[in-house]
Amino acid sequence: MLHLLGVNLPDQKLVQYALPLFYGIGQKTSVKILAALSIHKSCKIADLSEPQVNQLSTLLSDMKIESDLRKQIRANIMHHRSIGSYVGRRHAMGLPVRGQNTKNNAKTARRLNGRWLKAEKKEYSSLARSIIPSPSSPFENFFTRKWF
Amino acid sequence: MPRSAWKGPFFVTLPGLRQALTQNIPVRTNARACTIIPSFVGLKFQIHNGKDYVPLTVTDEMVGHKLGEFAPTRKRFSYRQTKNHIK
Repeated sequence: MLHLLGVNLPDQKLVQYALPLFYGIGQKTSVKILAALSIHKSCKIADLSEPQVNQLSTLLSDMKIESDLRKQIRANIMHHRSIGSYVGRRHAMGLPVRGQNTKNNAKTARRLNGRWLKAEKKEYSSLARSIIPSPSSPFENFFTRKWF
Repeated sequence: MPRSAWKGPFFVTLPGLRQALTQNIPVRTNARACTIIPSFVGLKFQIHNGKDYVPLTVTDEMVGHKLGEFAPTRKRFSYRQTKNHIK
């Protein structure tokens, strides 16, 4: 059982199928990571050597996964909510955001769409919003984007 | 897919803009597709939603979005059972 960056990777699993256990890594990025580190596809977690494990953990810590990714997603949705746009409203109501029909078939959206806002309410209810720094505001983005 | 960056943002020359800048009168507009530009920040708008004009004060964070995103066009769905019993 390899413990890496907050996630337990079971020993008997192939590395290729153990990496997607991280939030933010899927099958494609897993294959890319193996290629970058020259780990063969039938290598199991137990067969990884110490320097390989260290390389893997440095590579993973540079990527945006787990809590960093969750924070970014939550921040994006909160941005929409705080400016009061259509997207924010739909997230708050737990309905489809991207213009799907709601007469029938909105089951996944109804199940999954409000959850980032509920988590936000519980966690940040005591903090003031202004304390959380935004790395690039839409205002600055407008100028840094190369329009011509 | 959003509008290509090389084309520049889509915006409309709004006639009431000068008055809005000087006297703080809200700009009435039907141009929902107009992108919010940094020079709009702080101004008040009244955006058409098909029937009425919805008020909006533009903040710093709204800059890349369009005016129409802040003026919902449909009434919220509410189920009211009719009193006429259909036998």
